Amino acid sequence: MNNRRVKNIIEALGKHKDAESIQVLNELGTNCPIDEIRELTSKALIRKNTHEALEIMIVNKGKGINDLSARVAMCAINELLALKDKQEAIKILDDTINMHSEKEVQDTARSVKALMSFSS
Amino acid sequence: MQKISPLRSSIEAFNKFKALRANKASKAEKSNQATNPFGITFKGTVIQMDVFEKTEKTQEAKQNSMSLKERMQNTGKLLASAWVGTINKFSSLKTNAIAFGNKIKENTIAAAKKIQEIGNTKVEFDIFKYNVSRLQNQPVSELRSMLSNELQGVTNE
Repeated sequence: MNNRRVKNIIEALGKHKDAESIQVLNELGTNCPIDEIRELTSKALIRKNTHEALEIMIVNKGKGINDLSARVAMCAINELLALKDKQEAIKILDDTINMHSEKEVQDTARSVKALMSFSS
Repeated sequence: MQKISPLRSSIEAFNKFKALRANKASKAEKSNQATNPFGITFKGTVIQMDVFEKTEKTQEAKQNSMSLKERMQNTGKLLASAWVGTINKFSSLKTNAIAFGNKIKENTIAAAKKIQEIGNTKVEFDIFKYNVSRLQNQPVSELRSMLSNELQGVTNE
């Protein structure tokens, strides 16, 4: 896919100050059947580094680090590792490990947390 | 009777001729000083005043001899030729002016068409509309509709 317009809109939503932009990215971006758009959306949401945005990427099954596409999941993990301030992400990962109902999601969160502790 | 040798007689004749020629030449010089200041000669003799005056006199004579009717005719011909020349000049100016006007008109139409084409091009419009810094300042609802439209287009491809 080589659509400059879609890339620019997702990037603009990622940089937008309005909290509603997270909902738009969650509804339209993370549910898109095209891998590249999900990849761009996960990058934009993680770069926001807010509780709501990181929660979507870490807790939800089939989104962000739990995406069915390995490429999208790895991209989300890379973005988490690249964050300067990892406090909020680690806090959400801890909550997911301790309280999430799905074991698969818990395992993924555990792996990502381990990677983040190594990288920091 | 004294016998005259042919050589002596020829010398005497030559001297006489020489004296006569010198006398004639001095006379001619005196009379033609004013009319022929450059001393133009023709086969040894100085050209006199009547030689210069002859042609002028003939022209004057011709003019004098020309009747009033002929003069009028000539003037009429001159005026007619001048008038025809003026008409030609004006007609050529007119055609040039018309050609120039048509050229300007064509150029203006072409320029207007080009401007319209540029105005209708989507590329120019897209550069400004889909700029990230510009999109950031737009309301989220507008961005939502834009993204949904674009995603529909991408998924349908």
